[in-house]
Amino acid sequence: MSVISSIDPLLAPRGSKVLVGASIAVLRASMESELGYVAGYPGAPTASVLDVLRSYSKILDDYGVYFESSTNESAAAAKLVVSSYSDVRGMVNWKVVGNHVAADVLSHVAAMGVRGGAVILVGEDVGTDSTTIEVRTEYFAHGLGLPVLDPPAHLESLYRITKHAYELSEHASSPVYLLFRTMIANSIGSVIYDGELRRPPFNVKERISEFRPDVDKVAVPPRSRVMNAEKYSRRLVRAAEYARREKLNILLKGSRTSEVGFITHGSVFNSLLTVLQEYGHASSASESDFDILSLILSYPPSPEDVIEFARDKRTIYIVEQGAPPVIEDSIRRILSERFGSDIRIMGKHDPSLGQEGFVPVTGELTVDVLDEVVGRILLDGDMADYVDRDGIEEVMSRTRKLRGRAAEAARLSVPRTPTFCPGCPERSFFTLAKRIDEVMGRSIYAGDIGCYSLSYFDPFGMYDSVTGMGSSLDVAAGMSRFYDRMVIATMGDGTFYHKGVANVDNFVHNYGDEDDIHVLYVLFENYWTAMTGHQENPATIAGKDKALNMAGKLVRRPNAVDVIDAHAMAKPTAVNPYDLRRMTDLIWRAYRRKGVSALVVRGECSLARSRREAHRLRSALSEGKRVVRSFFQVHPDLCDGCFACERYIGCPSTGMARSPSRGGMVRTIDPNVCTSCGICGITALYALCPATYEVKEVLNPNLKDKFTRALNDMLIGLLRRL
Amino acid sequence: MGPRVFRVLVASIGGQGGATISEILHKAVVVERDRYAEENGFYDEVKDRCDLEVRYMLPGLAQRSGSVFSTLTFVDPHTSQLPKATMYFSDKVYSGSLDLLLATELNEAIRYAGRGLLSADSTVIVNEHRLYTAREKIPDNKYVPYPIAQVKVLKKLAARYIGIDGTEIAASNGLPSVTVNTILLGVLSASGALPITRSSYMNALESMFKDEVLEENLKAFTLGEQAYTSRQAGRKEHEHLNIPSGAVTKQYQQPLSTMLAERTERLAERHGTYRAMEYLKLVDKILAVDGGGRLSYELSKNIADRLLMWDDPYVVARKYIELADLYRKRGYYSIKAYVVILPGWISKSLPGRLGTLAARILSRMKFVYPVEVNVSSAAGYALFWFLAKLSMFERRSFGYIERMLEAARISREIIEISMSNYDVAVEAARSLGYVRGYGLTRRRNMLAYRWLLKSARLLASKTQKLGGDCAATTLRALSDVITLDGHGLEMARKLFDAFMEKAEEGRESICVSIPAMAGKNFICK
Repeated sequence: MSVISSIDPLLAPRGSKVLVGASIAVLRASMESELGYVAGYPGAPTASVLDVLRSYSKILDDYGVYFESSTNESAAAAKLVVSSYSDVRGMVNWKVVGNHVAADVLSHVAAMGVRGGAVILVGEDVGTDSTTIEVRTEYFAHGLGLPVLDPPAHLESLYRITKHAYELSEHASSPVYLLFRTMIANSIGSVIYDGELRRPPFNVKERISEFRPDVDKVAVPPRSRVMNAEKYSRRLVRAAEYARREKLNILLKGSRTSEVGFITHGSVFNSLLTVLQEYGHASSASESDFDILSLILSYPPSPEDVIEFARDKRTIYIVEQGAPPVIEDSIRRILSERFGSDIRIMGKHDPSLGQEGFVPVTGELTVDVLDEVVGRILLDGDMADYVDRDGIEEVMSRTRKLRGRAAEAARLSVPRTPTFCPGCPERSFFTLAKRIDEVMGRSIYAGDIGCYSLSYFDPFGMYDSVTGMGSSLDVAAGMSRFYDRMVIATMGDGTFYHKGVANVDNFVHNYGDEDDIHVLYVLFENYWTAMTGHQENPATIAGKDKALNMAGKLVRRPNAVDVIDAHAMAKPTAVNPYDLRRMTDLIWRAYRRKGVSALVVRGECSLARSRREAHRLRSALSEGKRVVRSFFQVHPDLCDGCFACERYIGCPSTGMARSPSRGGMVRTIDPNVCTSCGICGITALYALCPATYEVKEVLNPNLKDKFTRALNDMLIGLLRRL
Repeated sequence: MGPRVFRVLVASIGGQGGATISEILHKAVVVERDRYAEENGFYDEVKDRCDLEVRYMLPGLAQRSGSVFSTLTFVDPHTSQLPKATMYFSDKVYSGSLDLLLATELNEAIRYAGRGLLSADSTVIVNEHRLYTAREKIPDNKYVPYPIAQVKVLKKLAARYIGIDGTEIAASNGLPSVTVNTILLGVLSASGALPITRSSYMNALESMFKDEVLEENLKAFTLGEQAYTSRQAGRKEHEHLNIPSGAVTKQYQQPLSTMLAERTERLAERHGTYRAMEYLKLVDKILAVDGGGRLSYELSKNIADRLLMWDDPYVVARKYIELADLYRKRGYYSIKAYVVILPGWISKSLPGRLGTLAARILSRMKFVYPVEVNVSSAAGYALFWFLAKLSMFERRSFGYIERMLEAARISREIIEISMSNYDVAVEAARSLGYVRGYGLTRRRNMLAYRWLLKSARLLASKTQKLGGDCAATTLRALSDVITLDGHGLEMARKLFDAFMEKAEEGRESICVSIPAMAGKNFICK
C-alpha cells in the first residue's frame, strides 16, 4: 500500500505504512494501547497534538475516549487521578513551561502513583524555537521522582516508545513523562502500524459501576511520606528495570575502539550521529567508530545499562542538552559508586562549578553546536589516538570557511519579525496607544503570553515584561506603585481564562483608593487561542451565550465583561477595535483618570475570520450572488514616502515600490491581503497624509447598484460639462 | 559511508504556503522511490522502511508575515544499497548541509544563506520578488538592501542559482499568488536539481489538490518549467527584477537633462506651467555655478521632488477625480478618500486674506478626524471637482510663495557651502531628498533639515581641519539619524556636539560613520 494513498492516517489498518506527523503517531500508539482519556493545554511545539485531537474528536467519542481541552495545565494534570484509582490509561499534554503550572497537582499525583498507564506528553523546547524561556522537563521529573522517556527523532521509534510508555507506567506504577522535543514534534515521516485501534475496557460509555474509597490513595501525611519514599525505593527502580528488560536504550558498538565512548539521550543522538558522520567517524545507518549509548529512559538511567557500557571504558563523554545536567549527575553518581575514579567522565563545561568539559551548559545541541563540541573532543580529548586528525581539521576549517563566506549574506539579510496579521483587532489598540505615548510620554507595558506579545517587535516596541501566563495584571500592580506612569496590562482571552481570572482577585484584594495606582487593564477578546493556531477556549463564540470546545461540544460561554465586573475590579468597557474614535477616547479617558480602568477589546481574530469569510465569498461568487469586496490602497502619486504611517501600523499587507513621480519609494497595499480594517485610515486621523483611500468593488451588482451608478454617472457627466 | 542523503530547505513567509511545497516534495520523493524500486526490482527492500525520508516543519507562529521554514531530509531514491540497520539523521539542517534551498522570497533565501547552510555544490531556487519586512518599512530605516546585491551574494555562495519572479509570472497569468509555490516546483522539476522525475511531482500534486485548485497548480507547474527553459535560452540577467536597472547599477546613470525634463514635465502637469518655469529659473542659477556636476543633479532633483511638488488640496482633489474616473471605467467600484483638512493646509492654499479667513473658520470647527469623501458619489465628486477648480488661486497662495522662497534660499545656501567643500554640499543636497510628508511630519522634517544645513555650513568651514571627506561622512551620519518622518533631531544634535568637541580637541579623522548600511549594497529609500 502506497504511503500517499488517501486512507486516513489515524484509522489505517494494521500493517499499513502511512505518512504522518508526530502527533498522529502518538495518538495512534495511545489508542492502540487502550487510551481512556486525554487532556491538554495547547502550546508549541505540541499545539498540533490538540489540533489532531480536535480533528479526531468524533473518533475519540466513538471509542469512548474522554477528551478535554483544559484551560490550563494543572486542570489537565488533575485528570491523572483517574489512573490512580483504576486501570484506565490516559495521556495529558502541555508544553515545557506548562510543567510550572501543573507542578502543584503533579507533585500530588506523582506521590499517589497510578494503576493504569499514565503518560505526560511534554513539548520540550530547549532551543526556545517557540518558547519564551529555556527550561528542562528532566529537572522537574528529578524533583517529582517521575521517569522520563526521551525518544530519538525517528517517527517509528516514537510510535514504539509511546506504546512502551504505557507499559512502563503500569510496571512502575508511576506517571511517566514522554518528551516531545522540537526535532521530533515537528517531524513528519512514515510509520508502519503494528496494531489496531482498541476500545478501552472502561470508557465514557461503559463506566465503572462501583467506587471503593481508599484512604491510602490520598496524598496527605503521614501516608504521603511513605509514598514519597516508595517513589525512589520502588517505582523508579522498576522503571529502570523495564527499560533494561525491553532494551529501550540504543547502544551502538564502536568499530574502532571501546575505550572511549559517548553517552547521550533523545534526539541529541541524531545530531551526534550526524556530526560524527560529517567527520567520517559514523554513518547514518547506526554505525559508529566509537561506542554510543543513547538513553531513551533518560531519567532514571538504568544503572546496569550504564555500568555495562562503562565497564571497558577509559573515558566517557556525556553529551547532554540543557541545564541543569540531570543525566550527567546521575551517571556520575552511578559510575563513581561502582568504579571510583577509574573512569574519566567529561560532560558540561560549567564555570559556576569550576568544571572543565566540552558541552555548553545551556542551549540546544544542534548539529552546528555539536560540530564545535565534537570536533574538540575528537582532537583534544582521549579519542585523539583513534581519529584521523587531518581529516577532522579539514572538515572544521571547511565549516569555518563556509560560515565566514556566509557573513556577507548575513549582512544583507534583514530580520523578518512577526507582526499582527492584517486586520488584527489588537493592532488598533497599540497603534492608538503609541500615538498617545508620543504625546504623553511612554507608558509601561506589562505584557503577557499571546498574540499581543508581538507588540515587542517592529514597529511597536511596546512590551516591557513577560512573566508567564496570566500575570500581567500582577506586574502592573507592582510597577504602578513605583513609577509615576500609567501601566498598561495586556491580556488575551485564552490567557485570561487560563490563570488571569485569579489575578484579578489578587489585584482587587490589594487595591485601596484611586491615587494608589494608575493601571489600564486591556483584555483582548478575540475568541480563539490564536497564537498557537486557533484552538477553542472558553471565549470561543458559537451562538448566543454558547461556546464551542475542542471536543466539538456546545457549552456555556462566560462573558469577559461580566466576569471582570463580578470580581469588582472596575466596570469594563467593551469596545469595537475598528471604531478608532471611540477607542482613542477610551484610552485618553484612562490616561486622565487615576486608579484602574478596564477595556475589553472585542473583535474576532482576523485570521480565523478572514479564512471563513474567504470561503463564504468564494461560494457566494460562484453562485452569482452580490458580493462587496473592499480593500485599502495608497495613491502612489500622493504618497510622499515618509513612511510615518509605518511607525504606527506595520501591517503585513503593505509594501514598498518606486515612486512613479518622485524619487525614492512609496508605500503600497496588496489588495489581496488587505482586510479593509481601516486602521490605515489612521494616517489621516493623525493628519499624516491624504494618500490612503478605500476601494469597494461590487461583484455581481444588483438593480439598485446599477441604478445608483447610472444616476451618479449622469450627475457627474453634467458637472464635467460645466 | 552509506547512501547519499539529500537535504532541502524551503524558506518562506507565513501565509505563502511554504509548508505545502515541502509536503509535495516529500510525497514526490516517496512516489519516486517506490516507482524506481519497482522498476528496478528492489521494491521489497524499501517497502518496509520508515527511515528513508523525514520532513521537519517549524509551525512557527500562526500569524502571517513571520519567517517560516521547513526541511526535507531523504536518502537518494535511486539507491538500492540500503543499510540493514535503522538510519537516524538530524532533521534540522546545519552548516554546508543543503543540497537545495528553495525560497519563496529573496530576503528569506539570503537569511538562510547567511547562516552558512549553503555549500559549494548547493542549488538555490528563488522567487526574486521582494516582500519588505517591518524593519525595512519603518521610517527609522532609510536603506534597504539592493536585490541585485543579494542575488550576487547567493550566486557566489551556491553552485547553481536559479532566480525567477514567480509573483510576476503568477500575476500575469491570472493565478493567485499562492501558486508561486507550484511555479517554483516547476522550476525545480525542470532544473533536475533533485533526483526526482517529472511524473513523481505530478503524482504528488494530484494527491494534494483536486478540481479547480489542481488545474491552477498544474498550470503553474508548467509555467515554472517554461520559466526555467526560457531563462536557459539566454534571457538577460535581472531584467525581471522589479526595480529599474538604471537605479541599481549606477547612481547617476540617468543624464541630467533627462532628469530635468522629467521633473519639469511633472511640475507642469501637476501645478501648472508657472511653477515649472520658476523651477527652470532656479535650475539655471544652480547650473551657472556648478555646471552640471553631482551637486546640480542632486539639488535640482530634490528641489523638484521634495520642495516644489507640494500636494496641496487642489492636487489631491484632482488626483482623486482622475482615480475615480479610472475606476469607474473598470466596473462597479466606489472610492472613499480619507482626507484631513487642516486649517494650515487650507490657509496656505488660498491667497492672502481669504486664507486667513478660512483658517479662522476651520480652526473653530476643529477637524481632528479625517473627512471621508466618497469620490464615486456625485456629491463627493462635486466637492473635489470644485476644489480642483479653485486651483487658480494656487499661484497667489501663501504656501506657493513660501515654497518658492524656501527653495531659492536652500539652493543659495547649498551653493555657498559648495564653495568651501563640494562633498558636503552634495551630501546636504542629497539629504534634501528626505524632507517628506505632509502637515506635522513635513514641519518636523523641515526643522531638521534647516538644522542639518546649519551643521553642514559649520562642517564645511572646518574642512581644512578635518581633512578629506570626513565632513561629508559626518553629515551623512547626521542625516541618517534623523528618521524619514523627522524624528531624531535631538539625537542628531547630541551626536553633532560630541563630534565637534572631539574635532576641537584636534583629534583628526574622527569620522562618525553610523550608517554601516550606507554602503553600495543598499538602496536609499
